Amino acid sequence: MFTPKYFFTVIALTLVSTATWANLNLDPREIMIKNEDARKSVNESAKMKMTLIDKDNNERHRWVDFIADDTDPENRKTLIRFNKPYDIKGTGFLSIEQGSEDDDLRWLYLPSLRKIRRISAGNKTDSFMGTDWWFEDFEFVDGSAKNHNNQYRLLREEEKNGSQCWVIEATPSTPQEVEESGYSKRIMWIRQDNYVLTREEKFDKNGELIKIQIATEIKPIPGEENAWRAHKLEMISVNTGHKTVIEYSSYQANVDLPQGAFTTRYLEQTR
Amino acid sequence: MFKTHYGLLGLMFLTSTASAVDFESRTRFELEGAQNVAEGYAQKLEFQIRPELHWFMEDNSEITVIGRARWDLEDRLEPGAPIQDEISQWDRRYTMGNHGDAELRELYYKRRFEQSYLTIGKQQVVWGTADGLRVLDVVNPFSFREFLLEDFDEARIPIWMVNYIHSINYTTDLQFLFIPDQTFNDFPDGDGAAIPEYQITTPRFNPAIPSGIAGVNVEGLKRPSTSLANADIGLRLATRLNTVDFTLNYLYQYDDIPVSYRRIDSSSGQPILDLWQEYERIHILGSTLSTDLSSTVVLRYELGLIHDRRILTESITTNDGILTTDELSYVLGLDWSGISDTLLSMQLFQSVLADDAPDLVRDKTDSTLTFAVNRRFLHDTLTVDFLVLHNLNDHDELYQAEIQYALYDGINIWLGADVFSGHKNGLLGQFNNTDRIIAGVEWYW
Repeated sequence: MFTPKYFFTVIALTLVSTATWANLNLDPREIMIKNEDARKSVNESAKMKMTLIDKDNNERHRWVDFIADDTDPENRKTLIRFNKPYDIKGTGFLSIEQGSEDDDLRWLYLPSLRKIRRISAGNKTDSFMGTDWWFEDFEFVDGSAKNHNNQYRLLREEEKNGSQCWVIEATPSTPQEVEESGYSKRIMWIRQDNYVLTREEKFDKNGELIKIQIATEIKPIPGEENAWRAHKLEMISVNTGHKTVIEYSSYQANVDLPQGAFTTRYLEQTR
Repeated sequence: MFKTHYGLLGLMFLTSTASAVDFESRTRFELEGAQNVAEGYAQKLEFQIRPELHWFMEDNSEITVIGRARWDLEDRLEPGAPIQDEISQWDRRYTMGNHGDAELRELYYKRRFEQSYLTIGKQQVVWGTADGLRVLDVVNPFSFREFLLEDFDEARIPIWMVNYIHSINYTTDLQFLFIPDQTFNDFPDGDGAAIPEYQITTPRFNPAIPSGIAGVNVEGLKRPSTSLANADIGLRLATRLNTVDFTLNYLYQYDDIPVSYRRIDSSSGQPILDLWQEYERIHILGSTLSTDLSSTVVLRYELGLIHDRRILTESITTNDGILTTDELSYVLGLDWSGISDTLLSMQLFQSVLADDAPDLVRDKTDSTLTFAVNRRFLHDTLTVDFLVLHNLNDHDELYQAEIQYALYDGINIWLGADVFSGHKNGLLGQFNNTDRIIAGVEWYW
């Protein structure tokens, strides 16, 4: 018997299956572009607390100021400055991406030397100031500018932490990326409702799982539509049991940043 | 003099149109001991306290005060109370007996404008890209209390100056320095009974007394007057050309190393050797560059062309024992970071004189190689550093090794060794009898 209830059930199932079909037929590369769009703001600033926790639960802390300019995806700019502990206060890191082909430009300011040091972009597997993040982990490797360095494969769809996700595998595809990246592959969980990356598992050159990144406290970016930011990030080093938790505070998007904020001149300022 | 100076700073406080909106302070405590293992005695046991205060104003301005006080129980680095005749009245340390001193390290007012920065006061300005060697890092004079072994940030002597940086565009800045402060390199003094641990004895800087002399008349150190006409002037253009960081530098200054003049005076009927030291004007035209050569290699250079450098000669029959010539000094460095958490660095330092003389106290071309390794372990809590300096002319070396561990946030301990080798006439070999092991702890609060 054809009833309105049956009709709406069919419509709903059709919509769901269409959406699922559409989702399944989404190119994983397109999903990653949408993931990039979903985290996008023109610029942003935040204070971050980094907690480094060893396997015996001993904690060390770092407090940093963070600003980023995302106006041009080919030319993203990031500046990080450490405020505490006091022995590394003033240490700063500036990164300017150089389009899709060139290596990023990077500078480190060490207040103990009162010097800005140019650092090469190839040291991707260096720990970032002792955290479980490598320099590589801060790159927008899956964005529109650089995603051609990886090939993407949709592995499956599944629920993760209460959200339906695409599970996508990324593997380095260019000789340079294969050589420079510390990872042989990464598996990412992208939420289907908002394209936000919630979990990422990273595998070393031998194919062993070495790091897990978990993003939580996902909040909308003020003033942006369909844009989200995880306010808590956790990176776990599987082999050592060491982990780093980054918590955002005073997060602001689309703010007026100081003029010349992404210059070496600004990097060496106290704050 | 001091009153005038602090009056100026007080005026800066008063003329700051905005009230302080934020205040920060931190204090560093350090205890470091060193054992001279070549001779077998305690070289230093020093406690140091270094408070820092920062006031931040609404109008993007900032006032910074940094002090330092230290007490060394051994008193071998500068036996007795230091004379400080190289230091201007404005910068002298306050001595606390033979074992302690206190000084105002930095005191400046800084303001950020729309397209410029202005910093007025006692400060450090660092030019150059070289590690452990100085070609253009000569804006501030240095203390050689521990020769080259002290951290440069501690060894550099902050001086009073006006420092203005104007941004021409996003990647190009022009810096102007006006430095009326006449403070020069501080070489450790003895107290008559004891000589400093790192007293410079190499003939490169200490002329030999000629034979057949009836007497020596030491006239001492001649300082330029404090007239503003004797101020140092600095200019730097810093830019980024594609991926290359590049600077052009110019410094018109009094050389921080005094020239040791010698002349024989026979007017009394006896050959008397007159000795005096005098600071001389030099022009330094320089340049620095740093860029990625590949994804793991960074190239750095630092170059300075020094006009009218005075070099000692053995003979004193002409020009009072001095050859005046131009000098080209440069450091060429390569950094390699192909291994995680590791930096390998090699540098070639060369000093080439435009003119030669048969009895110069140094070679026309003087070359030094450096090799450095920095490796970080355990999430940057454990750091190992190793550095070698090898002079190719004198065949002498300095080896430095240090292991540092971060006990807790803001508390670090370290253990290290400084070993010299080579002939006593060499710049490095002269300290052959000062090999030492060091241990220390620092606490930031």
